[in-house]
Amino acid sequence: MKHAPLVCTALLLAAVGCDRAAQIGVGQAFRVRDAQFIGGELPGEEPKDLPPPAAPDGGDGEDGPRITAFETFNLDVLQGQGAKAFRGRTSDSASSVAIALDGISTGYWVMPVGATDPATGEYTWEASTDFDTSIEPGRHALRVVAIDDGGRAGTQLELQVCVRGRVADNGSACSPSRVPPRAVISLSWDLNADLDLQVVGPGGLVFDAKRTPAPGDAGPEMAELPSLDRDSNAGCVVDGIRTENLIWSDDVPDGKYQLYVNLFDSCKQPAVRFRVAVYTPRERGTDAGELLAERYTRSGEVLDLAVNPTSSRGLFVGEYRF
Amino acid sequence: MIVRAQYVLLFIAVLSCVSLAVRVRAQAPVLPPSAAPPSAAPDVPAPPTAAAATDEAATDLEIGTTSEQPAAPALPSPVPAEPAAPTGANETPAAAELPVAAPPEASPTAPQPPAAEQSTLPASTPAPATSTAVLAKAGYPLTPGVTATGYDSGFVLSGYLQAQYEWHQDSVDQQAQGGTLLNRDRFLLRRGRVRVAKDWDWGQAIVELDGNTSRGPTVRLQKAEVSVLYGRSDDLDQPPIVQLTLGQFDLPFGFETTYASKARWFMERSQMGRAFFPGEPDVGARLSGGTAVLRYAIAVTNGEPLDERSGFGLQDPNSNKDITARFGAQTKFGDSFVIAGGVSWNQGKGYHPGTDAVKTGVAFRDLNENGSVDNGELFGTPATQAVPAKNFTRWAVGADLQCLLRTALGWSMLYGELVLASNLDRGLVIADPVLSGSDVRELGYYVAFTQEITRYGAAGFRYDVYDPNADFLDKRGGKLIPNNQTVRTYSPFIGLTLSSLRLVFQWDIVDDHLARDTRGVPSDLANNQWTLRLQGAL
Repeated sequence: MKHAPLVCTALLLAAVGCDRAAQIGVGQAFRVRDAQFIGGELPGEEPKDLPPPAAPDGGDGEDGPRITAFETFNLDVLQGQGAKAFRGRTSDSASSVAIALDGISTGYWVMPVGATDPATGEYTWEASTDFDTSIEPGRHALRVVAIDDGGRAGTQLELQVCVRGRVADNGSACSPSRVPPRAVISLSWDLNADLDLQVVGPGGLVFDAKRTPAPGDAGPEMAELPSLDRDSNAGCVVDGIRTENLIWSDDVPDGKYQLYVNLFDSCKQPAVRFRVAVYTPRERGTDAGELLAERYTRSGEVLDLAVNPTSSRGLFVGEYRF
Repeated sequence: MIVRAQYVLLFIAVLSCVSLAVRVRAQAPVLPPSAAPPSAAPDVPAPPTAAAATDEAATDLEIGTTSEQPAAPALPSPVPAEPAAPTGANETPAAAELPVAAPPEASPTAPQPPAAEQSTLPASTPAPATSTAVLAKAGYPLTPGVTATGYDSGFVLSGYLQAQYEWHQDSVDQQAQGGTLLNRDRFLLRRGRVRVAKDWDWGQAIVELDGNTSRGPTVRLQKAEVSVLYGRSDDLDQPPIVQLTLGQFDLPFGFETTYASKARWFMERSQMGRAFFPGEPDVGARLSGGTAVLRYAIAVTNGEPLDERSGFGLQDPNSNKDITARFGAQTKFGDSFVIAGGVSWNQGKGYHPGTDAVKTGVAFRDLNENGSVDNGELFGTPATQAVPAKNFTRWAVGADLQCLLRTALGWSMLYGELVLASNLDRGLVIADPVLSGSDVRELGYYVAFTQEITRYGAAGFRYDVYDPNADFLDKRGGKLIPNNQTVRTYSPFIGLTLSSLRLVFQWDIVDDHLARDTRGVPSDLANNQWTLRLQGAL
């Protein structure tokens, strides 16, 4: 009896437990809006090479509930893209649709089927999906499966989606036949401020988001000028991308390039952490083609005191020689 | 199956604690030698003699009077017009802690209590049981804030702290859209209340501040009320005959809303109570009181209680004033059985805020999802008018019942409440019928039981049901299907008491329909929680 307090405490802790059911998918790299996250393997049979044949009456045949259509506008997704829509139809015995990004999701997302398609008489479904920036660029299998009222899942179907990186690679991560740019200088940051990448090339030519040199400015040694893909969060109009890339599609003129980061507008953020990286192509392992590889990185922080809405240089970050 | 096993384990744990508490009680000679009954042998539980009962009451008195009502003075009040409280005013913690031989020092001008009643003062001879202020002394003030005729004419400072650790099954280290923290496993200062009260012959003023860290560090006004009153009773359980109050006070609806957070064993009010009245106080005027067994309270308030999620808390966006009333009865049979109950009513107008005018604009819709602006993807948005606000009617009716029984084990309290309402949810599933055009029907009830286990412990259970929308429709397969949104909460607790300290562990098993199963059918979300709270009275 003298151990009663210990016994009491142990029993209480055992009774209450500390298990967390995986029902909150906020931390998932692949998310589906207005859907329920359930931990574990996506139910149903693995996808077959060919889609299961449709029953003559639009029913389920022998394979249970089926996904009869699975489509999207295009198979390209940008890292960090939100509200990417996938839609389709199911056979008439389906009650819900489960969806997961193979190799990325630690569970799957479930949503009830929607209204009946007047043309086919089948149920419709639509998933509005978010792809996190942590998903590696490249091809990924997006799998869906229909589930009936009894919880029985049919055969999975999959689409190969191409997740494009924030660093512009001309699609080479998904397609070996695509040639990546010759060089990319990329600036990324963590909060919604207006940060600008400034690069001073050979001959003092300045490239940044707030000005674009004319072709004649570059001189005969720089036949083609690099391009800046965007001015992210310009004027504090938040786009959420927080990445800017200076891209040389063709050869980069040799020489030293000075890298600056300018806090054009802090957008009420007290401090912003940034990262500057330089990418050039490398051979892709056993496959043909090239991939962009990171060659140089610098990171740092700028405070709101350093706001510089003028044309002068911002914070000097480093120097890179091509 | 796992959940059922947890129930069984919890039940065993409660039984273990009960047996432990009984054993501690049997082994601990807590009564002073002079007050201990001769029959209180170490290995034999003390029989429920009058002396033992009085001693428990004296100990419990420390809980009841230091919280929601000012401690009654040791001295009789120097009020010529009204005689000093014969027993209720003297049976206070201060009085109980007086030296055994020290008689109360009576003011020369104050009337002396009758000789027979002076013998009820805590002294070497245990006082006989009295039915006066039995609830207030026991820590169950059904009518909190009441001061009897023997009030302290000075400023009375009181307060309490509730600090806790809570664990939530649905907690994740993330933020929701908008920045709301989703991690809820945390240490929390739930309530830190400091209260100053002052009584006069015909009036009373109370100011109560609350500091907490529920949504970050906050210090705010919890209560600020001033009253003029008539017919103050001798009994701490009995309100004045008439009390007119203006200021910020607890809404007199049902039982939970006015039941002191410090006296309540459960961590929070029921789901229903928190949905209808997110915070207990509102600003307005109240007429309340009681005579004999009858109790009444009618309040006219702004209708936007504290913590209302519309953002208008304690303000008044419309000119309408909400009426809240409770009529009830409370009676006690000796000092061991009390029964109380009442019916409540709330009537008011909710406010559907309007929207500002919007200028013309251009919107981009990435129809082909290629991230670029293509033909047909830029849309002009015309200017829109300002939308005027609208009011809507809301109401609630409720009934509540409380039964208290004192046994050798301690006080048992069985209570419950039932509320029917329309458009009143202001805290959980916000009711606003303006857009839908149909009223939202709400139903809630709970049944709770608490049992003191000697003076050192307590255990209890609450079953709490709340349906925020009886007409909720879920969309599945293109059809609107009537769906149950009811939230059921099972809340067992165990508690330990030592003097003015309480250590309480409560487990909330929440059965709702906020998740979906693999079939897409609404199912229970894993959002159980437990809380370990330490409470101390100042």
